[in-house]
Amino acid sequence: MPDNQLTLAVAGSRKTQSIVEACAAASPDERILVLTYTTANQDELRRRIVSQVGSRPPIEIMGWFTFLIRHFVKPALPFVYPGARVAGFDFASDPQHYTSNKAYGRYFNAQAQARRVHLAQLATRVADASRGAAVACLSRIYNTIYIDETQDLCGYDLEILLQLMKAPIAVRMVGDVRQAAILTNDRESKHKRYQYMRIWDWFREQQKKGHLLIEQRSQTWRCRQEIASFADSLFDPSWEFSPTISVNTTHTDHDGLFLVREGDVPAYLERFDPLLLRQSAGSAKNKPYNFMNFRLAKGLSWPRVMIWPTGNICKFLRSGARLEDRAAADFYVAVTRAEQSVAIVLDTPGNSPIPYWYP
Amino acid sequence: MIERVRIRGYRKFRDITVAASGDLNIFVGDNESGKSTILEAVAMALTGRINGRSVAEELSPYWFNHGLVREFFAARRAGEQPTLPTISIEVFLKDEDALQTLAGANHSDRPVRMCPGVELAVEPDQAYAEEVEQHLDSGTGVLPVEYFRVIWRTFRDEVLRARPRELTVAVIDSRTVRSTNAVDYHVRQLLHERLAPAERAAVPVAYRSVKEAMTQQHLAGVNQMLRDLDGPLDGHQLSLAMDQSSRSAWDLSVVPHVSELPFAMAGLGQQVSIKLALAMDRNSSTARVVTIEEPENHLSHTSLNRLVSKIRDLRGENQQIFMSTHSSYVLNRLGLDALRLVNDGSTCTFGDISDETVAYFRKLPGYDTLRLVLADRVVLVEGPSDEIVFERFYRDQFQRRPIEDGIDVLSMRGLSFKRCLELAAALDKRCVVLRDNDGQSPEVLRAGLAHYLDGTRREVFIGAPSHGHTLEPQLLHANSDANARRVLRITSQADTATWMTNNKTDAAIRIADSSHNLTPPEYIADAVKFIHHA
Repeated sequence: MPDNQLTLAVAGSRKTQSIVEACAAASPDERILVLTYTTANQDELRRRIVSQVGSRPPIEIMGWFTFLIRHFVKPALPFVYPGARVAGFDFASDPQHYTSNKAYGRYFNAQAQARRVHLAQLATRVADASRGAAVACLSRIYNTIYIDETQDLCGYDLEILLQLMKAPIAVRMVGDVRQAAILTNDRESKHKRYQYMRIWDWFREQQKKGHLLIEQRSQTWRCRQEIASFADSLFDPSWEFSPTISVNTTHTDHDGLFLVREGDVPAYLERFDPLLLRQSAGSAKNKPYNFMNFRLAKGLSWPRVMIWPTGNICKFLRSGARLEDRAAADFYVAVTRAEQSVAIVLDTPGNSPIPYWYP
Repeated sequence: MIERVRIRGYRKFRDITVAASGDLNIFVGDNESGKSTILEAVAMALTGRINGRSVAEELSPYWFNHGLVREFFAARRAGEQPTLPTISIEVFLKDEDALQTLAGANHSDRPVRMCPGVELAVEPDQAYAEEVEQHLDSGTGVLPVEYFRVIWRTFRDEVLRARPRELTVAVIDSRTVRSTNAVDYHVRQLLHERLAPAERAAVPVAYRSVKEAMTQQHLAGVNQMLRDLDGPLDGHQLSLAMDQSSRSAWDLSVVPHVSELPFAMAGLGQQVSIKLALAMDRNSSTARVVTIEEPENHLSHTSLNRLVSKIRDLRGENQQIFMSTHSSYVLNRLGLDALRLVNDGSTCTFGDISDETVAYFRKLPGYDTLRLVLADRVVLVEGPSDEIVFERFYRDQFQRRPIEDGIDVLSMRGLSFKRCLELAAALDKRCVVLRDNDGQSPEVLRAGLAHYLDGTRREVFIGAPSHGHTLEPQLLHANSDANARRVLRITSQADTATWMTNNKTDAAIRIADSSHNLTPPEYIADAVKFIHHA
């Protein structure tokens, strides 16, 4: 079996960089494909690989949908619909709940554009109909496929992933299920129980079946230990995540976690100039500050962060009531942006052991 | 490597599939049989170009198969709604690892399977459906190609914009060799491929700076003078500068030299040789496809000999040659096993020809193999006198010359009947062999050839030994001495048999020219009947 690997790594553990370094270390004969879902991350990978890998036969960097179209749907579509061709991509179509899985119309609109919502299902059908030929062809083009932010995959993506893992291709995945905040297709009902953080269950099952090895990387270069440990505490121990270890040894006069009363916020902003985060445009309404939404901050690193909590976060702080998975993932993203300090705006602390900051 | 080419709706070909062999494919056929069209189609599908220009630019209504176009317009006139004729050229490549980036199931092969390949298609552009209808309603008989689009894509359904880097293609056609601008697009391509990637960038930069320097230094004086020029320029400045546009790219100013003579000044044979040397590279690791059109054109026998040796030397594992020729010499020398016969829009390949036979004809490059290959029906005879006499007997019986019925009479002049018959059998030619018994039993002689005979399409005819060993005694046995003397116009002093043996060709010519008929010996009469009905 080829060495398929998932590296589950905490925030700030230089996940993307590990892919760039593996590419740089690869032999020039190795044909490499790097996949990731978001365009922002594709651009980042492209930028770093161009500047750090140097001259060698090109490494291809591709978005997940492009990958499905170019390596499954386009080459192998005639196995399912002989003579049909893909005329384009339809981002906007709604799920075709009332169209059978076999019908052409489920996967294509009237302009023969492939619908995004059913693209992975079509890719799976096409791969199956080719009786392995599509994946076999892929394995003759690439030796190694890296997938960054693997936790974004869901639904039929997992079927494709499984086929890749069974093929003679080394599949190297990195990701962090604790940051599972977005999905390639959140309207897909296939494998719904493995969505977001629960993809971790799927990976652990695959490891049991012998399809891959999971390695946890728990060292963060970004967050101080207090922050990292607080972030770990957001998740129930049943997840079996290894505790995060910080290698950030920088000291300032304001390190760790703090609560801030709303009245003191202007003074705090004045003093520390933090990155100010909120769940979404719907939360922290009518506050006269410049917020960034949690999910948009993904990938960023900032010395100090201030968070405007949701009601559920407040409850968690006061009483330790668990957040549901997605809320926990979002809050985890927000907390782990910080290098030195995290301040949370909260007027009534309940049982929270976090100290208050006073101007 | 190309495995197969399917051409649909292009020129002569409604739908043809040409299977390719590993390293060498020689297409032969009558004029207008479509051999050049096959090479053209292969080159077009692999390079996206024709005559050095993009296919879309060159697209012409006359590319479409005439029969299909005629049927289309006839159907429309009959009030039907036929679909517009289209063109598709599919090149199926071998299932190699290095070609997987071209592999997919978007091709016409059934059942559906993944395989590497490229397609060049010409189809009506749906966006102009209305305009096409209007044009067709105007009563024209010509397809509105301006509303057609050329699609060049891989079997993965990825659109191609340049030649796929997995394949190197060299096109050597005699048309550009004949033109004054010998350094054509294809030669430039070949030169480009020889440059290392770093040079590919450095050379144009250096060329630009040389031109810049020319402008700066050597044109400065002229420009100084022009600046003071006050004429009808209304205050605008006039100056001279070297052309820096792409029309004057470095490769357009660079010319290969042969012994210090510019390429265009070299002999045509030499030009073809140089192109060939540039195109073929035995050490190349990437697959190379070379198409060569009629290399014998404008070459002396000696240059052709040299050229053919070169082609043989340069044949290598990763090279695949597609060639058309009119020359038996080229065909024999390069090997009959590479032969592909093109006939009226279809091709046929040979059955297996033994290596010994291929080697046999290679040593006899002067033998007119193509006559045998291209003939409809063949009569193989011993020598010129048999040839002449056969023709006469045929005409006596059917009042037509054999050639008028597509029957070519070839004299062997000592060549092996067996080898020629093997060739005829491999092509499934209708063929009779007419041979002397030389004193041996016809049954024994026939047994040596029996493998290639079937009694309906191919047969051998041999006179009875008791009637004489060769043609002349056989003729005398079948005719009275008086009749023979009358036809041969010899005096009573001469002995008929001796005179005929001493004057074989003369005798045959007199028989052919005589106003009196001879009775054919039985075996010749049988042969005439056989080939006529075969």
